[in-house]
Amino acid sequence: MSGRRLPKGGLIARDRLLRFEFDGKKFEGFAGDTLASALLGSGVSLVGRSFKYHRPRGILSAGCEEPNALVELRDGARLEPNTRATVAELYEGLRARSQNRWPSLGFDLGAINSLLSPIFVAGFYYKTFMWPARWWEKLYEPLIRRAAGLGRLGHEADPDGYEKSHLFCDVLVIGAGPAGLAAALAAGRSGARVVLCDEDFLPGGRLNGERMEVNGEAGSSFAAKAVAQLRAMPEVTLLTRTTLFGVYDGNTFGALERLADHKPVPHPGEVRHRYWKIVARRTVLSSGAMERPLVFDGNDRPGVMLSSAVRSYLNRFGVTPGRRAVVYTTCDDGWRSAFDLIGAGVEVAALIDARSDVVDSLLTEAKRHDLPVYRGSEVVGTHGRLRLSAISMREAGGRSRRISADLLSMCGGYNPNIALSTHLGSRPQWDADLDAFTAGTLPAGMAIVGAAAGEFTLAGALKHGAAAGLEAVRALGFSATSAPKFSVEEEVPASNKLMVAPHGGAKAFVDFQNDVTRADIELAAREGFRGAEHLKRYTTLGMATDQGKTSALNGHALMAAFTGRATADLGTIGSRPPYTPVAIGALAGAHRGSMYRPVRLTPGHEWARAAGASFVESGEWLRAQWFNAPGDKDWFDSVVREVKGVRSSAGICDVSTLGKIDVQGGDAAVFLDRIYANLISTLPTGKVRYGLMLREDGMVFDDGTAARFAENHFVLSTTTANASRVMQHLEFARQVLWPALDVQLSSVTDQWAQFAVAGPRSREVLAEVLKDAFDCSNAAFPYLGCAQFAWRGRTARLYRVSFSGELAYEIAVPAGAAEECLEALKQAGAPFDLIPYGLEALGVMRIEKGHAAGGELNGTTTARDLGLGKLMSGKKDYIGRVLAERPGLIDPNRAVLVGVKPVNAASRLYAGAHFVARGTAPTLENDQGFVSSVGYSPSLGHWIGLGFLNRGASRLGERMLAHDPVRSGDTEIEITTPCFYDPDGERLRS
Amino acid sequence: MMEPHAAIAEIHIEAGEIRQVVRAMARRGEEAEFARRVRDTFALELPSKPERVCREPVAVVGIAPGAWLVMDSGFSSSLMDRLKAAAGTTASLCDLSDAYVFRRVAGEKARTALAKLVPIDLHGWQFPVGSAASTLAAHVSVLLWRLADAGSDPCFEIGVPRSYAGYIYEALAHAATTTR
Repeated sequence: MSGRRLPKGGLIARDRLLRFEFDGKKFEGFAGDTLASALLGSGVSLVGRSFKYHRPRGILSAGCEEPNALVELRDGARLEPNTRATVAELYEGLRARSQNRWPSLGFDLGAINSLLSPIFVAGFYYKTFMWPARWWEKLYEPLIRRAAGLGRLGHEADPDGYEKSHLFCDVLVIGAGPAGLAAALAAGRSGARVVLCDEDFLPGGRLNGERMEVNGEAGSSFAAKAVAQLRAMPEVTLLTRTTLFGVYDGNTFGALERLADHKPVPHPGEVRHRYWKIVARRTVLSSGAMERPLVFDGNDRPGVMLSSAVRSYLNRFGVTPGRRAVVYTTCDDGWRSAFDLIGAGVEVAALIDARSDVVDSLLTEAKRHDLPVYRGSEVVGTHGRLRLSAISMREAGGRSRRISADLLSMCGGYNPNIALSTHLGSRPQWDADLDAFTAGTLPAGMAIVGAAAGEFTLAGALKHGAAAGLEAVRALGFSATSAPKFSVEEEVPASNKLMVAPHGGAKAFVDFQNDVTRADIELAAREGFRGAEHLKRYTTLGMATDQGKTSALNGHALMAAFTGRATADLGTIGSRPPYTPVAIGALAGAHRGSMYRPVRLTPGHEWARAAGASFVESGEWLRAQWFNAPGDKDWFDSVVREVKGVRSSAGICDVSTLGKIDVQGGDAAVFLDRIYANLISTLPTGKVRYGLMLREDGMVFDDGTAARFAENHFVLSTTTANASRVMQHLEFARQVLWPALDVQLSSVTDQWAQFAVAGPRSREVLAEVLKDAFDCSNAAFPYLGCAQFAWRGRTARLYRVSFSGELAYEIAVPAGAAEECLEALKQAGAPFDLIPYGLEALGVMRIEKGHAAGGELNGTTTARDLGLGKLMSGKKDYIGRVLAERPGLIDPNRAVLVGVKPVNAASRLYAGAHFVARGTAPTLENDQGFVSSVGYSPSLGHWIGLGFLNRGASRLGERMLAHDPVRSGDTEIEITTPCFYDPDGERLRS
Repeated sequence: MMEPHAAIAEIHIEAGEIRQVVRAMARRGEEAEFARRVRDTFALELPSKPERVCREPVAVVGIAPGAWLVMDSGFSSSLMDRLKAAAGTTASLCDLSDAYVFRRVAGEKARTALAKLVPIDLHGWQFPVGSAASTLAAHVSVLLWRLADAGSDPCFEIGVPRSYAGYIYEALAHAATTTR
């Protein structure tokens, strides 16, 4: 016996047949089905195996709280484990598989764990895998890893697209049940911008699952009409298949819209999920309630189902989950399922109510249906191998009875769904009348209505929902006339008794997903894990995909009972985002592959590509790393060729990525004196000076140049890596530290294309390019000069600075003229064998010159460490001056910048190697510093490096070991000055 | 640079018409005087908030307190020279004609596509014609303002730092493609 499709009824499209597969078997369902309803309609009740004991499991619920019916959906790259069958919308060709079973769902060898359950108690891992400790890596961990987890991950790249978007509204309504629809209607009519989110594909909530009437028509018809009205309102946005999963500060909310999960594959150009960041001025939380399972022996057997789910399957999906039912309840609501089952023609063998006192109206109706009612009775066991075949009960008088049934509808009352009210840290409060936790202090601007607020009657939900919607828009200044009126049969609020018996058999499950039983909670109490949070960590109660939606309160009530406390005193745990699982892809959105993060291209990018450049990511920039030329066997060849070319003749390098900041104003020079450690105000117009910036804490922040174009006009250059941070630093200084100064800042990095022209022939190349536009002779334009002039009708700037150590210039032209400038340089340079060179050659040449760069400006070095102490001006104050004098920073034993070269010229050096004295062990105590940058010097014919060595300045010529346990072992090195090439700087002044 | 034009569904992305751009910053205490001189020369009122005002072919957008972006979409002489002559010592000027790439995003679904990139409210009530913002688009600092409607559809102009233009164009095209 099993479930079946009813001949009529339900909100499914019976004319749209959908074929699907489960565990390789073919089935049919209808449009409007979930995978769970289609399986039940096809007679399938065994859907999965439990996590720990591999017990057969079926379908417990009809919603997102489902702990049991987790399946693998789709195949290959779209394989998706742990999908809740109760919310997976059926589509043509859907393929699903059960998980956590071997060799098959019906016969699972892992079920032996169930027989061993006395061993697999709470805290099993902590108690078992204690010794011998050396077995951890080889035995315990592999075993645990194999046993852990449900389902498998696909290992192929996700073929689907995702995106993020932003939504702003006056009123956000969360949940489109009766209260949410009423709130949205009331708010929407005022003309306010309203967003209504619902996780279901069919809005309406319980209106679709119950036999209720609103305004004289079926609840589902009312819901459909309300939805149509909302869709017609231009300022209302209705998002179905959208789960509001997180509440964040600043009235911000996270929501996940599933656009294509109900299709075999997304349409071309369609994203699978959209992550909405919603900002709402007011919020109405109408997230409904969740039913509590009852805790009794064998309550996890397939065929035992929440009573609200039974009604959903009957009324919404036209499916009966069984053919002979028993209804077990502690509340009035459970009786509804009995009446709905009878109404659908399903035999109800018994109604068992744990309470002795039941209202007369229910008893009268039961009598009318000849329904056998057992009051003050309880279910004590269930029977059946892979699904329910009978239940055992104990009557009020103590008499036992066994009743055959393939469906047990259980109702333990309802918990208001207050998860989202706790995301910002609010604690739930115990409501003794409701026997449930309700929302505590709500986030600012949020109202909670309907079942989420403990208002379980339809009339109440509609009325309070509408009132909350109206109140929200009125508070925002919209003129709303009156709330919509609904005509609904008045109900007496039903009882919602929490009855969790702290006694009974061993297989009474509290958390179905984590296989936590009543006995586990008793054990946790006995072993001292008595708080709600301790209980969670010790037993795993409330973890995994459902996050305790059905289990938390029952578990906490049991713990309270076992420790002699009231549930109110024990408290419960708050919820945290996400409310239901969110695909990682949705969090990444469109930022993957080439769009992973912003990419910046220099204005000379295409020119460099055509010239054979290989590019490398340098922060956000793509920079030419080297240029492949005929004859180069590999990158090393290219770099050596480029360095030699520059040192012997001339080369050009794109340095547009260096940060460029325009500083103007009457106090520009004063301002820069405070920013830089060295004096800038004394710089004559038409000159460039090296500039060193410190952080407030005295460490080196950045280095670059300051060029003075006029009395009140400077252009700064920064390193590529720190460009935006330096701009922020300057803006902070201007706006916050010294707002009284007359200073104006502009980032001009994107305005200018800038190219280094370096090498002994660079002046000749440049003279040919500039012709009459500017005289770049040594006499007219000596080292560290700067000038602005017109070149081919556009403004150009020239700086005589050198990073390579050669005679060099940097020419800047507006970015749009980049290619024209590069072509002009190329043509003018042809007679001199001018070559383009990349970042690697640039790096080699700067190491040859001993210039500090990224490896040295690492945030832990001071100006003195870098040998730049003499730049620290004593004539003025500047950022970092005071803290640079801390005792630790002026300690003469500090590691300072040195050069290193291998004693054996054939040896290679590695950055990251540590300095140790010869004959000492390579230990932390003997560590004397490290190598920060290395490169092969074509000029010297061997590897060279820069590093930081304790008291390095006084140790030139000393031989030591560069210890590198990861790559090369030990290399004998000699300590040198950092500058390996042209130490007197004659070439760059030539 | 990628093809600077795309039209997908009801969204049109095309290159802007701006030819010259100058960032103008009032010198300390000279804001009123600079505003007066701009008014006299260009017949434009400098906005004191994030807003765009226009007297063809020159438009001004307020981008920060005391800072404006002045744009010329005509073929006349150097904007920098004209501004310099007008401002004298009342403002610091910086030519940024090559620093930005401008795109116009128009059409019925322009807002929907842009909402995927920028975290600000572009609804007509909050961002009417003439509104401007200095904001982020897909993690990149951009300038965004609303031009006069194109027919009944909104039209936005986005100014992207030149080095990011290809990336932002791709992000915008992706956002437009997935907008239905």
